[in-house]
Amino acid sequence: MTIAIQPTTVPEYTLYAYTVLFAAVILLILISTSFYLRLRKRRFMIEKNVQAFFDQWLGQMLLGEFSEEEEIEIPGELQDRRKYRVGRQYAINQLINTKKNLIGLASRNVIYLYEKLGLKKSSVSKFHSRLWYKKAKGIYELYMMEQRDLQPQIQPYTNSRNEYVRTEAQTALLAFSGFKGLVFLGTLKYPMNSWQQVKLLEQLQPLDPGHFEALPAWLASANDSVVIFALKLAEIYQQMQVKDEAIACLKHDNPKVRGQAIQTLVRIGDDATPAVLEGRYLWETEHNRTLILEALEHIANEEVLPFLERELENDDPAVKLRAARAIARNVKGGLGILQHKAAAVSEPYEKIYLHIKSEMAR
Amino acid sequence: MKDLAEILVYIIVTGIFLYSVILICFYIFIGINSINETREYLNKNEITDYRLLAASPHAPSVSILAPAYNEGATIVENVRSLLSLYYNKLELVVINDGSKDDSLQKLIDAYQLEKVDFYVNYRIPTKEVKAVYKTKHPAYSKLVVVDKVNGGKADALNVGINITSNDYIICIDADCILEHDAILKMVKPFLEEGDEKVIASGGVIRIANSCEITNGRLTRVYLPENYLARMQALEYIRAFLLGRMAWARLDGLLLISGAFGAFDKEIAIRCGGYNTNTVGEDMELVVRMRRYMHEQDIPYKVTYIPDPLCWTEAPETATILNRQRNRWTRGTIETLRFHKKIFLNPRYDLLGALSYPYWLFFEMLAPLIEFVGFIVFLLLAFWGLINWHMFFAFLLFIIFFGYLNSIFAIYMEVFTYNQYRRRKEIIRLIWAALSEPFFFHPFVVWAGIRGYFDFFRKRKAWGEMTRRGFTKPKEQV
Repeated sequence: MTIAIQPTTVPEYTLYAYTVLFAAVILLILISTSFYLRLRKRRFMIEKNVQAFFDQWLGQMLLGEFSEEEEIEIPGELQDRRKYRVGRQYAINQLINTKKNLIGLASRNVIYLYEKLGLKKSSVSKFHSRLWYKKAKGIYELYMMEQRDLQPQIQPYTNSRNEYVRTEAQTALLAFSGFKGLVFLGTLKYPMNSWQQVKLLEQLQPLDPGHFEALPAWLASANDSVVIFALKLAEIYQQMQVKDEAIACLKHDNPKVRGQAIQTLVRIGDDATPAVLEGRYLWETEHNRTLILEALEHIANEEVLPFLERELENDDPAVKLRAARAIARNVKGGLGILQHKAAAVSEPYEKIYLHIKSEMAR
Repeated sequence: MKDLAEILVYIIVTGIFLYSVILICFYIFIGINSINETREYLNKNEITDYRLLAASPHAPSVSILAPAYNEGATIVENVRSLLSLYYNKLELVVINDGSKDDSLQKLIDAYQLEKVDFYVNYRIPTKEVKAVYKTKHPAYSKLVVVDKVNGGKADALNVGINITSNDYIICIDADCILEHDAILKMVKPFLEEGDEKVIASGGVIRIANSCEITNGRLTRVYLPENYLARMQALEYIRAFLLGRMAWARLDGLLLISGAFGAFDKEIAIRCGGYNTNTVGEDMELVVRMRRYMHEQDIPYKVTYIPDPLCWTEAPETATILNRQRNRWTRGTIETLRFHKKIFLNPRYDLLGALSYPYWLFFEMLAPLIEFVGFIVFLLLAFWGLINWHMFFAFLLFIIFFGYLNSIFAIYMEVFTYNQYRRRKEIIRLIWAALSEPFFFHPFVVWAGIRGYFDFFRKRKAWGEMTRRGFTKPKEQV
């Protein structure tokens, strides 16, 4: 027997020593747990005290009784000292949450309170931290509190290696400069995932649409995610002037870009678009073919009817259904075409006809 | 002959010892990875505003699939709770799996449902769909109810996959209670995908026994009063906060609980949907999806959310718990048997080299090895071959390591989500951990052994899972 570790080779006292070690670690964890629970309770009490001040201030803010000349007495829990950082962070979080639900004067009062309480210093210190999550949080707090003077310092981080810092910096630019903040798309080196794109689009959503002079350049970007994002902008803000660039994107190497181009063309295309999409159908991936058929459900015309009738014969029932939907919704007498088909070949066309008919009736 | 017996005993004892050493190493490894993964998750999501996804037209479309079988007593309330979840592009598909009670009629009456003509695309072969119901009531426009011939949970979920037209599916148990932002948190990992396709995302399941539920919403969290449920609360904390978080970090997750899991629908269909020939259909689907991605050579990952998002009722009686664990054991054996090709196969990378072997040796075989170890111990004791000093030293060593693992899990819970806020509840949880090796653990091992017996007897039944129902606040009662 050559196995090195076996029960008899482990001396009894070693096992007891390990057991004692485990017991000691357990004790340590229990003490830490108890300590942490106590800390949490203390934090809760601090937050409760800070909340009491806030309730008073928020009432004044909502009633518009706040003025910039008014001096505020800073309570002890919010003093700029290390031991009060819990209270200060709670105050920042509360102000941000409040501001999200306010507009106009009340919203400006929140920012005023943030500045008066010296909380900006705390956000700036986080922004200068070397830890990525603190930096991202600092940027978040600064743009939520509209601290535009920090924009030049934040802007370089739109190309940060850390995606969370990068996302917050990009959002900050939009918060500070609106559509002009999209300038970072021209120099972006890293990809933007869908979450980042949703975040940016939602940030832009309440703003008046700006000019999109750089849109053609973004649509030709070497960064595929920039192209996708630009296509989304063109779709949402119906930027018809980039229709040709969007059509060019149908031949892009990246299937995700092509997929987004198909979706965008539903909104910015013209009468020729259905035929253009039909022309790409054969060359596309399965997913993008589905997108083309879904697009044709909205924009198909007589010109693509032969194609749709051909797809109605496709082996895949899902394709049949989408083609039928596109015919029924867009072609004159489309439902009649389906009814005729159902009468000629009952299985499965009768069910498809009834499905579409029921769908359209709802 | 005597020599042979000695060699045999030596091999078994040494084998069990080595097994224990490797298991302990794994637990330490899991603990470390879990800390890192949880910390990273919390840091990443501290400032995330999930609300922007709820109403965003750019959010992906999601369908919740809720199979229901004889859930008449609670189905209307459960559906109401699910309909109130925050998410704009949501569809709720309730699949009535041939219930023998009045579940369907109750749904029709409560939500003013009407039968609609629906062309079902049987991309995944299933039992026949009898009818599809929708409503014209605008408040319930997200609801689709499917009535089908009884075929079991996996078959019902497959029907749901066939029916829905959305991009992602979230499969849940109809009697689960979801947090209002559960969908938002589950969808985010899919949106964050980069070069690796996110094919599935799991969420933490918590025990709702003794918790207060008002109008289908969890209003107060309490530690279960019932001992078995309390033990399961501890077990779930350990499994979800430590085990699954650690495996998620390594991208080696093999199981996403059937009670709450999100999947990329297209990949699920390409893999053939849920397997109806196993009682462990949740684990089997994840393994099959992973295997498919490996075989297609597509970079992918399976993610995990540590937030407590889904609350479920745990069995409170030994009989029901025994049935559940018996089924879990059979499900694990069946899944690992179906996919034995993965075992130590370099083609499957970490999946074959670490995840599968871990599940084989430390999940599937664990009850068997413990049971064999116990029998060997009895025999050796009978023959007077036990070195009792050594035995007690080992016993204490193992028990204390188990305690360490549980106490660490409790610490992680307190430090992260702190669902049990009263000090008394933490103390009760610690007492539960201390009692585990003497009561709960032997019971679970025995249920596992019975699972082995039933597997070899080719028993396929799920076993009836009677539920008591959730606790309502006093005024509602």
